[in-house]
Amino acid sequence: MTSTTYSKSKIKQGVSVFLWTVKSNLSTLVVYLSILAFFIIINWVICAGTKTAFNSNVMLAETFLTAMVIGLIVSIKSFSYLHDKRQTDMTGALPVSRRTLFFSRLISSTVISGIPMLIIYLVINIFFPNNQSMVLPDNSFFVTLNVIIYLFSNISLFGLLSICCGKTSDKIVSFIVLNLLTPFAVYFLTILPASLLMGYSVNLHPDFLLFLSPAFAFAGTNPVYWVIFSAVCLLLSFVLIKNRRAESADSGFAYKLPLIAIKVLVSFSVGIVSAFMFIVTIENNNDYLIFWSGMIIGSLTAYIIIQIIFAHGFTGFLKGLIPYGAMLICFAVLFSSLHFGWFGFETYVPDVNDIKSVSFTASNPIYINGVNITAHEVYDKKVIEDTVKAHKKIISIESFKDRKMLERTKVNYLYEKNNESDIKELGTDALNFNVTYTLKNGIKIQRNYSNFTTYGDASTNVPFLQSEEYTVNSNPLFVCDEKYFIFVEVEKLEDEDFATYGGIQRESKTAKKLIRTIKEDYKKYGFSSSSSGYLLTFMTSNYGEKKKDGEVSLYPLASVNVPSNYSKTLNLIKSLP
Amino acid sequence: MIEIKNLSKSFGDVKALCNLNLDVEEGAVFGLVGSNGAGKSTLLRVINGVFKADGGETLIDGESTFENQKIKDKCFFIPDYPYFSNSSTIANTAFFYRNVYSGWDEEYFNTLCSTFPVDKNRKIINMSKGMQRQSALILALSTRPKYLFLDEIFDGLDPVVRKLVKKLIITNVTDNNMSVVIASHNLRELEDICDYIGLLHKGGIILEKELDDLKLGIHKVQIAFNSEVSDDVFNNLEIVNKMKSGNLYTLTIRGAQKDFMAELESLNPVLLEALPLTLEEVFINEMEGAGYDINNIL
Repeated sequence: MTSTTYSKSKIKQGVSVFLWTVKSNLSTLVVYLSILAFFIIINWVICAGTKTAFNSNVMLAETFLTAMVIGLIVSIKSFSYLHDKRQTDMTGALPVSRRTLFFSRLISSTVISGIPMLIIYLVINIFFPNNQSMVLPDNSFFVTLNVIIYLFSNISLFGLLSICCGKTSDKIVSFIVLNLLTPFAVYFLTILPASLLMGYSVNLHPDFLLFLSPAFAFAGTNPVYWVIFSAVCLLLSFVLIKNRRAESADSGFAYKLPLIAIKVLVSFSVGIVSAFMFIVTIENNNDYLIFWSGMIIGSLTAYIIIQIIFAHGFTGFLKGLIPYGAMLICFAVLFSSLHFGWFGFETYVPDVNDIKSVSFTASNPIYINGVNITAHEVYDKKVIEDTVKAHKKIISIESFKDRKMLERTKVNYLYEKNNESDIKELGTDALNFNVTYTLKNGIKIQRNYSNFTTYGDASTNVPFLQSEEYTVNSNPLFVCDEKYFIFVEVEKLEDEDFATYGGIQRESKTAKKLIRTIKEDYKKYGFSSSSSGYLLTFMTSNYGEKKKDGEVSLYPLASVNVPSNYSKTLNLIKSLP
Repeated sequence: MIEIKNLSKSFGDVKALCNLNLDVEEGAVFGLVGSNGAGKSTLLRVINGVFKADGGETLIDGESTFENQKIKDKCFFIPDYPYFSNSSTIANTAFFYRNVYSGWDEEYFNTLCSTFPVDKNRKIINMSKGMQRQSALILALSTRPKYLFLDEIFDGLDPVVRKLVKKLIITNVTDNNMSVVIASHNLRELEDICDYIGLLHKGGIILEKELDDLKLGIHKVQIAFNSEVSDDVFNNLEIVNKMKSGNLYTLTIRGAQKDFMAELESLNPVLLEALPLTLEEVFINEMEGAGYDINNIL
């Protein structure tokens, strides 16, 4: 008989579990590698046949999608020991700690789904070097590495959900729900204040919503974030796995909080989406009634469905409605606080004596490399006084206060977040009043009011909006450094129809030249509503940098409907080749 | 030694174990009996660290079992439905256990593989229920456990294999001082192998005794007389159960056999015979004596 002295280290046990898991997934691994090999062959055949360069992005997308599917299948299998009573008996009695077991399986899932990607990367680079028809960019290794990071973040989340859920089906539903509905919930929750509060606007980072959905992480978000995300998932898993109730296998959730959170997330997301859809589609004078009808119908339907899915029937149905009720009450409190202005956001205008400076911006501040290029400060006492007066006038306009919910938002978020609606046109009636006060104590207060022309004559109501101080200071053409205008599009109006413009794009040098002549003409002639038929749209790059392949992502910054008396500008346009 | 102190475990509103106390000596074979839902399997799962107890303690060799790898390394638990993955064979599962259990005995494993009529390279899930249990037992015994926990192990085994299993358990107990806890409904199987018996009912042990004590303390006797006798003649004996058919009496008597046989001899019967009591009969009598409705317990 061998010694029974306990001598197995955690690492050795972890390696054993790892090998055991890999071994039991060998068939999946073979299928996976076969699919990837098939993709290589197909891509190679297409490249060779068409004599075109290999598109690494297509290959990576195919590889990633396959890796995601395989990763999730392997994860389901690997973590099924938490959801199957018979497996729980077997693994629970093993002399391997719960943490070692869990993390060994998590690593094996990542390796099984990630390593083939590296193998494919090596195969491509060895057998199809850059001088062949298959060409991978220099950074393909890092792209592959990033994809593995995204994959790991998904597997980490899946692992965490495996701990929280009692059934595999619940885990899959939770994973889908979290990935699909979290961005919706956060997005609509973010725009809700803009729909209820005059003067409030939102400015979301383009990648913001992607950060809420690991399944879509590969679409371009920062891998460092996903490393942190994975670390948080692993930390939570580390804490929760040890005391997880094994008896929850094949029954309800092991931890109640995630169950409640997911049910609330589902009902809230569906509720708020349907609420906004209701007020967009149903014509009614009472926006709030329509909004709440949509909210209750959507959220209750979603809650009933998710409750039945998780409970596999109507067990504990009434008790399960408590979190729904709590969610609805919390949302009602939030909604009321915004709607009834409990915090005085809508009525607050700083005292002139407390203000150090004001700045007027394009409706959404434009950031390039983290710098707000539209930011500028006006310290003139008179401008500050006029600004405060204008601000007070705006919040007292009755027709503006009575606007419908969606009309209060600066941009119609439901349809599009169209940057072009933010373009400031030179010489047109002021549509927006976007002001940032910098108080003497350093606090910044920002208010954005939009679309005045729809609600009365802005020039009559708020003359300041027609003043030179405001018009010039709120136009990026006059405020932004000319280095940011890297492109200009020159279009000729035909038959008064803007849609028929045939644009000619010009490089940075022409853009800067045109800006200088416009400013000279403005000094000489001031604003004019007479149109020459030429529309200039000045653009910047989204991130201020050219990509390696020479392409830039253009972002419209300002536009000019060139007045007919701007002779110098018109001459320059006509002289362009 | 296994010590269980005030152990409690609930599943929602259902109390599976309620302040349960139990000691199992080293080298003992402990039979755990009880009706469906009495808590037998739950108790085994808690002892083996599959479930975490809500209250109380489960100690093996003085240490708590939950998340204690050192203790779990000395134990092996075969549940009522042992799990094997789709690709598991005895050979590849042995590969895993070899690296996980410090007591793995390769030589013994090979011996057991040749002792049981199973193919170690065949997929276990394709085997019959009885063969699967044999596979589980081969793997379990190969880890040379100090404590073996078996849940309905005899279920599905043919009489020959059942005998073999009992023999192997007894050999391991005798040679290696292994302690065994067997949960079963089958009192007849336990009778052959157990030193102690515990009766579990509604999450608590209501009876725990050494098997010999149980059996020695109660006896069945058949006694016949030439003519009818009065029931009062048995008044000096501790009669647990009495059945009469003409002049033939079948008595279940508590006490030392020597004493009551002498008493009965003095009544000049034409027939006097002491019959062996099955464990089931002992239990029924004990429990009825204790005021339980045994039909609702076993």
